[in-house]
Amino acid sequence: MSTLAQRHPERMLWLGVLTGPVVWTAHLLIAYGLISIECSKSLRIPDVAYHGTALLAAVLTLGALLSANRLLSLAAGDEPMADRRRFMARAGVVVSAGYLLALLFGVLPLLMLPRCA
Amino acid sequence: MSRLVWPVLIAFGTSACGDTSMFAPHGDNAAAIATLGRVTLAIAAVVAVAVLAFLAVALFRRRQGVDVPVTREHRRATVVVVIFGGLIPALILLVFFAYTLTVTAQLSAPAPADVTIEVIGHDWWWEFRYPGTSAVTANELHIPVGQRVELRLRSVDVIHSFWVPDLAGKTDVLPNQTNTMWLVADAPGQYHGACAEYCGAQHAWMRILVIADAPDMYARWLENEAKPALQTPAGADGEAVFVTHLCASCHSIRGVVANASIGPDLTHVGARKSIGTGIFRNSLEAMRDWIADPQHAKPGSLMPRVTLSAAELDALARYLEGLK
Repeated sequence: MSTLAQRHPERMLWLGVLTGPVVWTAHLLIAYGLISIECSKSLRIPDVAYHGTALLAAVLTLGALLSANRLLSLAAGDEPMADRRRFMARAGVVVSAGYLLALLFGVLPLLMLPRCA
Repeated sequence: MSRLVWPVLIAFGTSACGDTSMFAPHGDNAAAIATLGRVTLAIAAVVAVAVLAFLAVALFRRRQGVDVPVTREHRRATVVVVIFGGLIPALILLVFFAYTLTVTAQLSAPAPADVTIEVIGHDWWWEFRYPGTSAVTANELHIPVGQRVELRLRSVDVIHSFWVPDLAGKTDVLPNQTNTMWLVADAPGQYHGACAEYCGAQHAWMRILVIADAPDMYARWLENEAKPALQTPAGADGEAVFVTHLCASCHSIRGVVANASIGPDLTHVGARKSIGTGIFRNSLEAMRDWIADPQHAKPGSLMPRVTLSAAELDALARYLEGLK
């Protein structure tokens, strides 16, 4: 039984590289939007909306990191495309790790600061 | 090129001089920010020295021509880069960030206030209202020393930011939202600040002067500020000019038939330190120049040039200067 990575290696490599920045951007926009609405309209948006979004973003980015790491181990050998795949898989690991950290930087203020102060 | 080096170094070296500095705090909030700044600077200095040391070692070893197999060296280098270039900086940044957030949380935590003042940002001047009294002033914020002051900030036009470095950090002043900040001045004096969010052509001339007085002096000032303008026979001509020309369409002078709120309240304008939000030191000549051609002094401001005869201009300037 072949894995997703074996059936669609190209797509999975690109997913590894792009998931981190896309998820981080989406989380930032959603968190900014929710806070702007909450503070300017004096609405009470439940904590779960913020924490759930952050958790989902973290899981997606972590998934991209693990998947890129798995692709790195699969990209062995010396066929013509192996170097490129290794590079993309390694880039996926580094980019995902970086954006996971960026995500943490975005979530910490939500946890530590009053939202409309 | 070398001629530029010393002037640039002197400019950087003296840029923190003057009467305003976040490293010379005069209140508890400003002190917390100053400590945060010093700790950040110290750790950043250590990191900078460490990076330069690594660079020096790398350069030195390259010159020596270390004979290590490429694959082994490559693996070791990768580990070093990951640890010192990724993990340790990330850890340092996280610690910094957590510390910054802790200080920010401490500064933004609601605290019972002795005095509450409304701060309203306009393009390009500040309005200060003292709830519970009729006192309204512009560009000069009077506060009592040693008492916690709550500022409720909002804007009527664009985003501004209220910043008096000696007393507290920046707080955004937003349309359609009231932000709150607290400050305490621990010594009497005058503290300078400015709008810290670019808000248009005259952003640089949106200065703030905070005057911290002993509580009894502050109480006397507030009592006087809440009074309507003093009517004097000497000011009758100027008052007539004020009311019959465009002035009264935008400005308010309590006690006179003028209740507009587009421009600053001028009820006690003669007692203020400056005109034009810091452009001129307040004087009869400066008042005359300002009224004669505000667009020359502050292009783009809402204050138009009003056509007045020399006698009218003089009477109006004298009248306004007499409003103490």
